[in-house]
Amino acid sequence: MQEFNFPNWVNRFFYVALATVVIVGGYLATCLFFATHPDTVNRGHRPLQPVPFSHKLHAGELKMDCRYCHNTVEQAGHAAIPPTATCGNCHGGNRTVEGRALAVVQQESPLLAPVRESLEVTLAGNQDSEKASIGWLRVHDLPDFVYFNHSAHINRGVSCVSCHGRVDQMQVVQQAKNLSMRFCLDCHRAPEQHLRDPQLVTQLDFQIDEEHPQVVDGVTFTDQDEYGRFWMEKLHVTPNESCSTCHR
Amino acid sequence: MEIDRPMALKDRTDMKSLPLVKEADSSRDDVVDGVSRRRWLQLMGASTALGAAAAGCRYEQEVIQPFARRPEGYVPGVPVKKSALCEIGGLGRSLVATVFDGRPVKVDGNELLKSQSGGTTSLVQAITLGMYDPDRSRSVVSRLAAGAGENSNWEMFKAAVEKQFSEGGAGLAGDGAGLAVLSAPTSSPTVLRLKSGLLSKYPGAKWYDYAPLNQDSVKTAAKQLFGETLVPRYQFAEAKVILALDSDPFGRDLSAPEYSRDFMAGRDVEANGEMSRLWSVGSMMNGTAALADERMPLPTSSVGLFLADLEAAVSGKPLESDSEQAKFLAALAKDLRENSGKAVVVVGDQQPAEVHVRAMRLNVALGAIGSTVVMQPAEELTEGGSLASLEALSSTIDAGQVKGLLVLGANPVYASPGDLDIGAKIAKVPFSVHLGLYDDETSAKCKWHVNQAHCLESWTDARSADGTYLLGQPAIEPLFGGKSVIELLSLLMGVEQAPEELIQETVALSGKSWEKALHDGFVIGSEVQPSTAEAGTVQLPAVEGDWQDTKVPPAKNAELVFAEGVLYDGSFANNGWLQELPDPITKLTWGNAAIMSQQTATAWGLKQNQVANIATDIGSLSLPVHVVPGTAAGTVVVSIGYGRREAGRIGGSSKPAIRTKPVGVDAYSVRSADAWFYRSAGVQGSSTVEEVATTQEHHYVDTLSLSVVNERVPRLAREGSLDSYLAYVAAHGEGGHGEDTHVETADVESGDAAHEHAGDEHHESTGELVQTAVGMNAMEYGSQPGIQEGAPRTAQQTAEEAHHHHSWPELGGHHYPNFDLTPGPAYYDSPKWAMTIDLNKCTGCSACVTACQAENNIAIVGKPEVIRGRELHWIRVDRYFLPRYEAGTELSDPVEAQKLYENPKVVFQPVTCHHCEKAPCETVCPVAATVHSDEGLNDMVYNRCIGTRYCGNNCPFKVRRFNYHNYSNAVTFLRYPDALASLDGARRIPEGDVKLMGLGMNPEVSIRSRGVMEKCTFCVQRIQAGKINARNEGRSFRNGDFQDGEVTTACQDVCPTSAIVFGDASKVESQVGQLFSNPRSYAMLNELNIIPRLKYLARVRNPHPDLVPAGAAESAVEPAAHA
Repeated sequence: MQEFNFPNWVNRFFYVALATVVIVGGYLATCLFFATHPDTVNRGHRPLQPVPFSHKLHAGELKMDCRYCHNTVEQAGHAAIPPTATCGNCHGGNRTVEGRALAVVQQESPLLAPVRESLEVTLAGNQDSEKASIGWLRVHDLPDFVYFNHSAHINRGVSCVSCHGRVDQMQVVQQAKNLSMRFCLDCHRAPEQHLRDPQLVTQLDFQIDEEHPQVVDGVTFTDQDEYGRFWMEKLHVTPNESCSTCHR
Repeated sequence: MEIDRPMALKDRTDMKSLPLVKEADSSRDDVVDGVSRRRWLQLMGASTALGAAAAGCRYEQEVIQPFARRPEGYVPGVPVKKSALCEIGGLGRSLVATVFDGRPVKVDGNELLKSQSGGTTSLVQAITLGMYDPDRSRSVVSRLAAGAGENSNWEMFKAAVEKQFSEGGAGLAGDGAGLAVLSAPTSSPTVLRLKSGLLSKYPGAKWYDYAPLNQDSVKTAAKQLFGETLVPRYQFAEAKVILALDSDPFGRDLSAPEYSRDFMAGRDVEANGEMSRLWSVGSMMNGTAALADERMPLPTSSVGLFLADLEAAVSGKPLESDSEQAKFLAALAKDLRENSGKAVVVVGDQQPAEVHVRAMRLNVALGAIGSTVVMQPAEELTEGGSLASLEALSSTIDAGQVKGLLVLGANPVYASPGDLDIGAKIAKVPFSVHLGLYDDETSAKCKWHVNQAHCLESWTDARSADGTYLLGQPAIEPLFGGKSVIELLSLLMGVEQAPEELIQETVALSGKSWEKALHDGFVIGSEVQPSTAEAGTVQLPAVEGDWQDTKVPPAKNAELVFAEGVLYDGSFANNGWLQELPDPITKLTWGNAAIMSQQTATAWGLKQNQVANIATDIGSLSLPVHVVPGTAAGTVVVSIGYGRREAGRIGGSSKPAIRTKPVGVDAYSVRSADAWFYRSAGVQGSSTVEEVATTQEHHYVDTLSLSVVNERVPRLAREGSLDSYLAYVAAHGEGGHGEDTHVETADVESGDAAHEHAGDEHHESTGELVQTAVGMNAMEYGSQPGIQEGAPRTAQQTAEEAHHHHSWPELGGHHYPNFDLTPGPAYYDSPKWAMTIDLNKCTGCSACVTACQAENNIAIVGKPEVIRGRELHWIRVDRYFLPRYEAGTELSDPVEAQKLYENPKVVFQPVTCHHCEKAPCETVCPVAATVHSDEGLNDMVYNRCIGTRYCGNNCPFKVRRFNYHNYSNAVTFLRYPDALASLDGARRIPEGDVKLMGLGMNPEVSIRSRGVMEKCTFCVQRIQAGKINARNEGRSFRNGDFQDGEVTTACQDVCPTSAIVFGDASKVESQVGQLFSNPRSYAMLNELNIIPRLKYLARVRNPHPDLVPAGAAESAVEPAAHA
């Protein structure tokens, strides 16, 4: 049987094939890298909620404090989603209790139907009804092995805006930062860039520069880093970079 | 050509039996894990491709379901503590439940109630797992038609009950004649109030109570001697000399947490300058025998004879004999007499009434009553349950006088004498109701089963051991709508009130005082007054027989003794945490065994793991032999509580959907009403071998460590005599060695030390060695280098000890400077978390193991996996047997060497992650999944771990645990106990059941999955919670700002004797800082220069001077020499 040999001219294809493998492989690796990058996967996540609650309207235009609804944020790890009763304070529907009309902003709006239903079924004592609880979709979803605590940050002068962005300008809330581990560590390594008076943490349009000086205890600050360092000292902020800080 | 390839480790015959090799051997994993490796690779290949295509997608969308109206004061995700109450064996225990979002996940002892220990037992710790058990019965079941029961409901049951009474039904007369109630023991004042109400409403009705573990003979004896039904409660803190006669007050006793706490208060040598002395005489090695300063094995049946002689000796009529035992008795009598008023004799409940009469008489003579023993009126405390009551019910049924039977919480069909055959009798009753947590053996014989509400789900009340009125409010709504005993009795009596109102009526409190009692969990000052009855005289029949000839096992007839095991009376059989909890002494998990001494096994030609047939006149048992040194000659100990046929997926079940083989063998079947606690039996070896799942010799890495175990034990678990300790303190003061910082010899020694300990594993026992001794191999533990009394010390050892003591002090704690390539922020003066474990206080009870499981979501792995050494406990309690006194010379004769272990001393040593400042595990992790924190914690990052297991291999303490499978996923582990035999049975459990069990998990701790290493974190979730709290309050949390008790670990909380102390060692005045400089403190394997953050405090023994061998006595002051 005659032996078959590739002719010599085939050899030039070896380099072509090699180049193809490197280029295609590199391309795929780059695709994979960017496709799974936290910036791609996490940022801009904006699920549509059962009730199209506008933070832009409530927090931005009406200037409601974040803690009016997220009222456990200073005491707990979770900045809990408010119970429907909180919505009901203004949007209770066309109801009166003991002859007194309740606050009935947008009382007929079909968009608020789930809120009214939730209040009505629970008032009727039907706690187990499917309509009793409004199922909000989680926007900022950290992996289950990450233990983030809101109270630890809020009480020590880390503003909501540092992680959530300008929620007061969002019609539909979306994830503004990538919330990757690097994002966390950047701040834990240089907390002065984010610290401020804990009284002002919910002031999302907070600014500090020559035009917007901050005065604390008679000292005027015009630079975020100096201002942050002042609060670091005052609040004993010593952020930890150990793994067990967040992973248990 | 034959290529000489290196053999796989697992195929090498010399290595095959090594625990570590067995643990890592994956050849059988395909069988148990459901998906084969090949299939898994196929799936992985496919999913990688899919994953790439779907890149950019996020993980699963989570939905948040908030309340419509959030209860006032409720903060989602923040745990609240609620007082709770659970009753075990008719004894209430006030608890504090930690409730996350309405789900109780952990219980602890109520520290407000001072008469109760803040610590608890494993049984109590396992309560939460029992509540979320998917095998609990979930509805009312009716078995009116023949065959399997069908689900019914409470309304139908109510109608059936009403019919019984209104129309006469099955024959219940208007006055209740024909109605019988069989109750589990209870101390609930409300239940007892309803009981008397029931009996006055239906005068014809009869009330019986039964408990397999009861105090019948104690009560009978007290009745004879004091004329009243009394039960003793001991005050061990007052006692100087304690004699435990065939009893286990510091182990299995329901009051063990209090008894151990008080006992250890009397053993606190630093506080008192002296110690009480514990004597133990009994047939089996148990927790108390292990703690004893002096012990003698004696068959259970001979205890009465011994006590008679002791009584005589105490009153001045010494035994005329010069045997070793007589010497023991004389020393004991002398010690008791000399400490009159401060001495106490404790006899086990299983002993007959005559023995109890003798013991009580002796206690009276010793002036113990009112000082070290308080006699309490039994009626006012608890409806204890008795065997006689069950026998009475049995004969009433036989007489055809029972038309309706109500079984409240008890399970007599399983837990009763085999010859009574109560099951067949209950089946004959026309209308029978069983109220219980499980659809169990008794339920199968009843016409109705009502699912009971768990104690954490219902309103309860009870009395504690001293009679304090305890209250419990539900921590959660009944998961399956169960009913409590109170509710069922109310139904029967037509009472309309809710349980809460009934309890409030019983306790007669309202307004603020009711709220306070509910908050505290008890009513202040409600304890029962001790009886003031004077002892009369009782004529006891003269005893005959010689207890001194019991050192040699009889030719064939064994004395079969039934012991309470980890499962209590069997009612906890479906609790995986308890099934997998190693018994403190035997270290057995998942089943019982025929426990006997080596001497007995040799005499009868039996070997470790060989199945022995134990035949009695009413039945026989087949159990593997397990050798435990110190068991009395001729005694075979079998734990009760195993062999459940209708427990559930863990303990054994015959229900088609969850069919599982019973775990262990049912010892009740050979108990009989006339010989309830021991009986004579014939023992015959069989040709089968069944491996027992014992955890003691797991994790050895080489044969060297197996062979030199006992040489190393004295250096690992250190101890000495009281005299030598007092001499040391007198010479050096209590400041101890902690301040010295001689490091100059470090480099010279460390090379050798590291070499010696490379691959060392000190998870030793004599178990393995004793096994080999069966084959008459020479035993090597004749000589014992070390520091315990009597050890002849070589100059080299002394020098080495001195070096170890002074070269490596722990204080001053530099933060592993040699390895610290990236120093933490300079501004951070962190606390230095550290722990001490006082071996002098450890009773080996293993409550810490279960508490750790509850706190840290530690999975159970099942019997086959335990046998392979894959259990996941983060803290283990090592148990070592050592000769009681040094022989002085090496014994080459195996028979002589074996004799040293006939009455060994026992050492317990809890071992958990030492959080070494220079941790060997960290340097070998290729992905930095285990790294040091700024506070000195050895962090384990599960999400980074890739499962190389290098860290586990390099850990000198072998405290790292690897998830070979998805153990926390119930689908996998639940079929392990019977993995191969019943693949059709408990193979898969429904998704809903998995979710139900998930409710009991601690949300603060990650659930680990397959391929991940895990280990003790010093409860880092509690540390973080403590730090966040302090910061939210505006406090700084730097070095020294942390207060004792602000952060505690789960094992520390549960320890009844406070042997475990955790805190900030950077603060010298903190508790742990003080203990670090205690003269008794030492670091295990400190020669490795790993600077562990866990230190032990050496144990102090208090042997009686008359019994210390002459040679040993001289070396009593010896430890001073090496300082």
